[in-house]
Amino acid sequence: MNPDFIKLTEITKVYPMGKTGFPALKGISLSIDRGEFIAIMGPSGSGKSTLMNIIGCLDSPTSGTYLLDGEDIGKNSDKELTRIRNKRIGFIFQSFNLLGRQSAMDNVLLPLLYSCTTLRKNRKRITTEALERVGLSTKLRNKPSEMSGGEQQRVAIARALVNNPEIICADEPTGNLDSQTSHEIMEILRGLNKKGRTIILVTYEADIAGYTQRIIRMKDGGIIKE
Amino acid sequence: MLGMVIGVFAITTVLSISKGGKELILSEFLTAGTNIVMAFNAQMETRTDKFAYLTEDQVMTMKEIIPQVDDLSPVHFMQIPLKVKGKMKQITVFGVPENFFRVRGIKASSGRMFTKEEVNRYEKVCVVGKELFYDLFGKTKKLGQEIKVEGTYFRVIGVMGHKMEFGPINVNTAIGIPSSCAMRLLGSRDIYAVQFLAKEGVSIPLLKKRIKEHLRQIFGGRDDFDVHSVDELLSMLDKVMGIISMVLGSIAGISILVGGIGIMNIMLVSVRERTREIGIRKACGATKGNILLQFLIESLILCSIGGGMGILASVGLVLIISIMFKTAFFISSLAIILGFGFSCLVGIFFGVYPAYIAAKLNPVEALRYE
Repeated sequence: MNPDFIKLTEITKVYPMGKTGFPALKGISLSIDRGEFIAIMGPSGSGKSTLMNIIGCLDSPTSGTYLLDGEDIGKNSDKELTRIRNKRIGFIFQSFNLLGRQSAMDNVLLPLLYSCTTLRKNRKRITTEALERVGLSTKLRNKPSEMSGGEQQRVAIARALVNNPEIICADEPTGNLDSQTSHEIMEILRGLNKKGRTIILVTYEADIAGYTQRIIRMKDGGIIKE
Repeated sequence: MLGMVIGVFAITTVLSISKGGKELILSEFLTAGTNIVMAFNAQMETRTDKFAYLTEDQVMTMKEIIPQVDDLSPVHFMQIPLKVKGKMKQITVFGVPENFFRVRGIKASSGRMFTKEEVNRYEKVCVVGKELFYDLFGKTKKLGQEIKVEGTYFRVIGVMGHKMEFGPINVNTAIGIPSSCAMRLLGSRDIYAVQFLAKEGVSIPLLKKRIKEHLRQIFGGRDDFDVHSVDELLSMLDKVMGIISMVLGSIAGISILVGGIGIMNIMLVSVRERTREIGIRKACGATKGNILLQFLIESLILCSIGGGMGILASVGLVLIISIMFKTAFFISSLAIILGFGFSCLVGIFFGVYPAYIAAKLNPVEALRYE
């Protein structure tokens, strides 16, 4: 078996901009084991979000290879990438990215709807369980606008969890929260990691990164320190 | 959206009315019989004083000369002033032999038509058109009243059933008296119009041609008499209906096109406003197909609402028309299906482009979109 769960080799990403394009990633090589809790740190523009998007299959690299569980992601079609995002990866964003017009339940339900594998009668139970796990069992019917930032982020975590993914990609999940709430969110993430999920966290806050086992520092599209 | 409403409204209404109207007219013609030809003095409608006329002999020999004629009936005319609903009106009185009612296909809606004996005996009886009867006596339908024509009282013995207006007499608003009485009142035996009934299976245009030729011969080469048949009215009506349908149909088409473009714009704005939502959905595992379908369905719903409103408006209008004209116009199911189907088609057609734009969005960029 392949020892590396996530293996990036010489990954580059160039955004089309002007004549030559803007290189966001300049040859990143990185291995992440199953069950790791890893933080990617760096100033804005260092390419940390781009790296996370590539790991999360939201974006594809310009060159280099990305092996996920031994599978070459670069060879996958758009449809297969979508399937991987849906089944194996959960996303948590800085700005929560919830659907504003839908209730907490419906937001959490979204990945289940697109995976099409869960029976209709089980959906309600699974989404309720996911929301209970993040401590929101009393706010199932609330809309995002009726919830605090911390609560919204917990809905987002529940949504990331609902399809039981192996990897959770969190892009500055605490960026919009006060420090008290930030620590609550990080405790939830730490708990998820203890249950065996691989978590990749992007942050610029040192105390948030302190929750993780391994910190990667980036600058100008390259890794400067592990 | 409004364009959609107007477009579907127009389509459904036009289809319903033209179909309903056509059926109405057709059913009327079927009862009237399409094998009726009428020849009447060409100057009758222009009302000049010098009339060409036929004699009784000339008319009767036509039956033998023209083999396509099953039966014919001379018609005498006069106009009399009559007080109808408190107002003086010019009413047409026609004098005919008893066979006129068979030739013209008129049946009594109440009472009876006069008989050969009554004609021969100069009996002072009359039959009245349904509309005029109601106007004169109300809907009590009591026969036996008397009507004064040129100083002579005629007893009403029957009401003529409704018939389509054709030729110079509208039987619905006219009074019919025995030809014998009419000739006596007029003081002349001149015949200004003849009603023909064609034999079964005879070509009407051929019969018309024969009648015309014969009349031309009588009048020394001049076309003093016009010859008309019911079926030519029908084809004219058909033509008019076709033109109306075409004009309204093209208006409908244009407004649906404009409405469709409007819907496309709404959808494009919606895609732009919801870029972030599309990003979220994609991050959660929505495929291109999922997004495409979502926006197509939304555009379809928009168009269906527009179409539904159009159909409702059209149903309302047709109902109002049928009440106003006291005829049974109906919304044809074909019109509804066509109108609704068309609006759905437009919804899909104009929804594809915005939905495609939405499906094509890059998830990373969509999520970053503010």
